[in-house]
Amino acid sequence: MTASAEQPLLAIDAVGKRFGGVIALDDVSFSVGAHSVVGLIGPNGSGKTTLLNVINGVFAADHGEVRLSGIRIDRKRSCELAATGLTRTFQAARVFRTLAVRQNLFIPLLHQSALDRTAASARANELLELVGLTKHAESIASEISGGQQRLLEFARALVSRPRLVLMDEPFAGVHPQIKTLLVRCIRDSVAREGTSFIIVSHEVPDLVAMSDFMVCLVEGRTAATGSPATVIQNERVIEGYLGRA
Amino acid sequence: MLSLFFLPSSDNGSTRLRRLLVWLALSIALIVYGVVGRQLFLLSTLSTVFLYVVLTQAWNILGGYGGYLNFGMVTFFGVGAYTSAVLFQYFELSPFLTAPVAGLASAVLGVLIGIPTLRIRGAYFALVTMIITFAVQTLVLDMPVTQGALGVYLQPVRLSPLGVEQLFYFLFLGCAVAVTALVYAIEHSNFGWALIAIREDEDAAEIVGVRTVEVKWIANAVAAFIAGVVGGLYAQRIMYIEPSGTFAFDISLNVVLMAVVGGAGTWQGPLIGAPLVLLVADMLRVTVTSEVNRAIFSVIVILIALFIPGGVMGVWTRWRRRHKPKTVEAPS
Repeated sequence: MTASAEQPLLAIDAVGKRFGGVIALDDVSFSVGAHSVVGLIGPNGSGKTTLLNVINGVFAADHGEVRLSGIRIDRKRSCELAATGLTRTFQAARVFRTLAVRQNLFIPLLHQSALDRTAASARANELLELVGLTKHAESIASEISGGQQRLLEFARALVSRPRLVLMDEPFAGVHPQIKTLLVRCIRDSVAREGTSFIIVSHEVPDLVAMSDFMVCLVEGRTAATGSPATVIQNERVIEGYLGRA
Repeated sequence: MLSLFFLPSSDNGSTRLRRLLVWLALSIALIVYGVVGRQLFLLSTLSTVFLYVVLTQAWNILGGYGGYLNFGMVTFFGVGAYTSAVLFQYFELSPFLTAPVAGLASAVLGVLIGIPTLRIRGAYFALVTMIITFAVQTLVLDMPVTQGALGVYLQPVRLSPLGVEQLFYFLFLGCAVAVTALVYAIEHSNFGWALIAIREDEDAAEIVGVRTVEVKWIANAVAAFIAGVVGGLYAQRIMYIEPSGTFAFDISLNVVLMAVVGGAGTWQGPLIGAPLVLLVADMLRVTVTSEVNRAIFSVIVILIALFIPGGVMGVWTRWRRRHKPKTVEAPS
């Protein structure tokens, strides 16, 4: 179950997580290759966000391993993972609300001691331009629209040049234009900077179009993995998530 | 994490210089008054203002920038006061010399308290800090080394009454200037920005790489050190300390009030809030009974929270933003 035949960027091996009597993840395994987009689908409550939280160090897995470039990361803190190039966005955009839009982009650079002020500004400007927020650079983050906050959060995730970005429902409730822009930015980031993405979304057609590899979780288990075309035609995926037309 | 002046500031150089000159002029005026002033009451009142500026600035580091509402600042202040007093009592060491030791004792306590409490957020953290104050106060009341309710006496400073007032006036003024400079530096450092990120969204801050636990511990330890140093000097100033007065909850409450009124999370806030709150407190004290004046204080805080969030500095910042021409970058 690999997204790439080469050394995987991220390897999830038999990960399990339980909350009391509820099994949120049950022996989930798959890999993410470098420079790739992995679509993670599944019905509500299937464990998608829990899996992102385990990968990201928010929750510790009860069993199994998560490796980033071969190094175990499943006992590391989120801030340590950010330093190794793993970051994320949330279901509802969580920006630093009282800071200016540009200032939001400086926070992930705080731990990069080698980066100087000029380089930080240049990188922030580059990202603001990418997501179309240049003219809002000095606005307070809470004063821009929800869709723009989503773009800002995305830019904040990319500013430190991560190797892997986890995105939780990035297209939920956003204007179609912003969705198109986000998709373009994700493709641009994969192509230009070699960033990989795991994207959780219910917008299956969009995810099929942009993913190199797909994983479907149903009731905490891996229902199917593979190319987008094979996953959406998989009987267990149709049965457990997509339904029959 | 602790490098200074990494992040670009929104103020240009001339604005910063103008602001610095205003505060410099005020500091010089206060120094001149300290030399020529002869009114003991005024010198003493201003010393108290400076003392509160120091405590409020210390609180501001974690409370204002980090968003952790500490209602137990007096714990660190009291431990500092008792450390100096006990060192004098048993070793005859002057609090002027042992104030840094008092600061260290408070900082160690800050770290020890911080390990379990800084995992708690919001109202629970505020409650726990209050409870810790009462616990430490009870401990001091019961320990033979601190002489319980009897308290500890210190030796008077061998100076004229005016000399004593001037000495503490300059000591607390010096501390206030030094701590304000430190808070200014923190505000413009990576460390300060990490604290602000924690205040805005701690989970998001952690996920983008801020080492939130360490940042909070350091902030708490620095604040505790400052409160401990000033507590040690305070013990020498009043020459007698006992648990109920030294660990009075009013001190913690005043510190929070001053920060909220002046503007928490800004280096100017405590400089505005401390004199303002003490002035209002004194006015209320002479016009209203003590039980009622705290209630009036509470009403003032509620009104500020409701109608002027960010305190005086919040009003000023919003006014400046409204009247500042917007810098719009050319579209690409």
